[in-house]
Amino acid sequence: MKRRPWSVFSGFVTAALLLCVSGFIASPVLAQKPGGVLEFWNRTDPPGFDLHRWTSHTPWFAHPVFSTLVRYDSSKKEFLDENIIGDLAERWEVSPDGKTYTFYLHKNVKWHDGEPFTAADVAYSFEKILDPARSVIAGRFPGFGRLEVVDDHTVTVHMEAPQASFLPILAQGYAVMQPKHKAGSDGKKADFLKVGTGPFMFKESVPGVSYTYVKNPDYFKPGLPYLDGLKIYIIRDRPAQRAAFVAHRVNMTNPTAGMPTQSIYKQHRKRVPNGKFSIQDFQMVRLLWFNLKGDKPWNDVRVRRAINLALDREELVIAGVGDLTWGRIGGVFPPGNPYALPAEEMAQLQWWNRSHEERLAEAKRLMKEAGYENGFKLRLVARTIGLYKRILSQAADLMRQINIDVSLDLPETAQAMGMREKGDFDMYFEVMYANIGDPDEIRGYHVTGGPENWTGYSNPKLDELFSKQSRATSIDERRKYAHEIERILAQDAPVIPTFFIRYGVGQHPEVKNWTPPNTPYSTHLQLEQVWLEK
Amino acid sequence: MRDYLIRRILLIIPTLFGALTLIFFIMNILPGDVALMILGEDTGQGSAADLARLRAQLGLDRPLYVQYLSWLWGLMRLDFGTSLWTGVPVFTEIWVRLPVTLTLIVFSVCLSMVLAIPIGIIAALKQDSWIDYGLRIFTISGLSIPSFWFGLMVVLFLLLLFNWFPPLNYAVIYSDPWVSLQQLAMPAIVLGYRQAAVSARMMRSSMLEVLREDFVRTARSKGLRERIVVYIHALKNAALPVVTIFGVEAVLLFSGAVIIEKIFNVPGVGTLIVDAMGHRDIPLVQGVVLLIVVFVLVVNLLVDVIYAWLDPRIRYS
Repeated sequence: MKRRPWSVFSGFVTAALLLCVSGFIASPVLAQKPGGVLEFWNRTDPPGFDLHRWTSHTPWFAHPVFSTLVRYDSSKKEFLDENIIGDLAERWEVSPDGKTYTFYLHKNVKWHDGEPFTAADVAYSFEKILDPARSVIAGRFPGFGRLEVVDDHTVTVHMEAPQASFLPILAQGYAVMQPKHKAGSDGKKADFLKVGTGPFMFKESVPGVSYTYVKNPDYFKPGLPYLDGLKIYIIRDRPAQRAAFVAHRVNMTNPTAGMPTQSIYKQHRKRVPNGKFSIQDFQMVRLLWFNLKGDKPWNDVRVRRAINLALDREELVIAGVGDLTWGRIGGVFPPGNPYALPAEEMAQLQWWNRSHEERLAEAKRLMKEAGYENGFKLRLVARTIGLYKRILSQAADLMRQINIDVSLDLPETAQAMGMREKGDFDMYFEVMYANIGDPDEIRGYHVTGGPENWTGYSNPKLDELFSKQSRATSIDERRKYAHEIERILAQDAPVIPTFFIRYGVGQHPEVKNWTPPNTPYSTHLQLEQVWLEK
Repeated sequence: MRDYLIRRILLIIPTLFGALTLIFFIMNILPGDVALMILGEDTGQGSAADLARLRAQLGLDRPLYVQYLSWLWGLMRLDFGTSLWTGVPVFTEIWVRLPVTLTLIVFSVCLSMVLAIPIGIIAALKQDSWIDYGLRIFTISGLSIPSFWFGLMVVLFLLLLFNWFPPLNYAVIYSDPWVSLQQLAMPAIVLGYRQAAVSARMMRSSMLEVLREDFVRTARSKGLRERIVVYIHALKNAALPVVTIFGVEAVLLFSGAVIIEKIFNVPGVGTLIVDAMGHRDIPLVQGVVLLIVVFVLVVNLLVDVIYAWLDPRIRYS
């Protein structure tokens, strides 16, 4: 009898201990550690801070601050439709005919200045995005009709025609939501970054030196971001970029476009053996663009095909980046992309399954048939970038094998772009800008009168195919039209793809949960999911 | 002397005006379009309509003479315009970078003086000895080795041996002296070495010439200690051509600083003007050129004043 109180007490203690232990085992141990400032470099200041107006360099500086309605899952590298998730939109519905999109917005979102984010801001942002005077991405929404504000947290987009790329283009990242109450702010000034809804808030900048961001304490996703802040340093010189990474002055290289060649990649790996390195396959291809606006030999499709055959892509890759593994060869869509022609068919179309000698013989035959057996002069214009010089020197050598006397004109960027605009070139070399590899992204480069149609090429059949794929509702249907587009471009050759860009990214071991995407610019650059192991 | 100084200061104005007019028209003659640059440096994007709009926003659609007069009028009100690339006032852009470059130049000049004068004197006093030969090898190396190569080797050496690279934060000497010192020490050594080499060689040959003068022989024969003869009598006379060299080299340091700033990632005026040139950012280029012209004129004036102080025989009428 005397033992009973003790046994009861010990029973309680044992039960309590068991409960504690089971609770400990059951609750997940969080791997992510909050805190720390992530530091990386970019090679230049951005030309502006408004993602609607400036599409190069600006994303690294603006994405941490702004959000989109939908985005791509930042844990995945690929830009597939199934990887699209909500951002400011908690969920959305698409009508069966693909002409109505209803977005239900998160209700607890505030701008960085404390004002609430509502559907009115979405309406304002779309109005701006679709205005060519205030946005360079206005042309990416050909099916857009009108936007209806249903209530403070619901908007409906009514499309004039279905556009299969509508959600992907929204998710890609340029179509950020901007505050209506700050309409008219100067996008060229860093102050433009002060009011967003993103995981980080802009704090200060020293032009040419650094940009500092701090954590948004009122971010609408609980627990995020993990980091206390970001710091972007401006380092222009490649050796200085490498030195800063090796000396651990930064946690990582540029998050998406750190190392443009394999030799630079290898140098980084050698000097930081415990770092984490990855290679990104961008969706962008560098193309040779013919000027078809005058009466020139290359207006004859046989001449263009001959040049296409003479340009050995593998030699161009080796000349440009030193290693075949660092350049992917394909058409206007990257290899492995859902819209790219199967590799075997592309190889057959482009004669890549034949030897160089066979291709050269066929090229000479075509030149002779076109009446240019003795060749002609051709002026090849491009920006004076080291990589371009190497590629084009090799291209010039290859074209000389079919008696084309190539003179390389490689002025500075500003001058080269001016020459391109004026049509002051025979052939121009430049990247065709695509982030997610969607046909609607490259439409403007190839349709008649397109804003980026530098060649002056016009093919009504191609125009029709681009329209059809844009309105198609299934990916299989889009793929069918995209394949036809590739066939036409390969056969007509108004442009000659060389190879797709690859970049390397390096991170020191403390950087966790950063998955560099297969594009330099996307909503991945919000960096909300990245954390630092201290 | 006072009249001379006033005259020299007043002469700065037409010299500035001439230099700036030249730069304005040269920059506008150069091919290239800053509006295209802004719209898509990497991507080459930009429709004709976008460009026209941007040019209008930037004021580039106005006639050239209107742009010129507008800019001149701004200068008179001390408004140096706004950078076409960043939208930041030119004055602010330069003001942020100027302390860094000035500190770098001052460090380099001080370092070169600390090296050049003793090296020149010792080499002259120990003429044709192994000390003289060693110092001459040191100075000839400084003249022969390109600064940019030397800078790259310094970066590599520090990185390979010590895994060290200067801090990346923006720091000026008066706000964060330790970080500023870390950032500028190596670039100052690289720039200062070359300047020291030039000045040391001039110092040596000047000292050799002065040491052979009659007044020096007289001073020695009077029984003065060698230290007094060299540092009081000979040095003052031998320093005259070296002062001129310092003045010229201080100006050349600006151009040398451009490359060295890039190598060491120093956010100075040198990188600012190179980037501005690449972007065809005319207002910013003009602002930096204005600064450089003023710097050159002021340095030359200082050299003349020091010259007159060193040599009482020189009087500017």
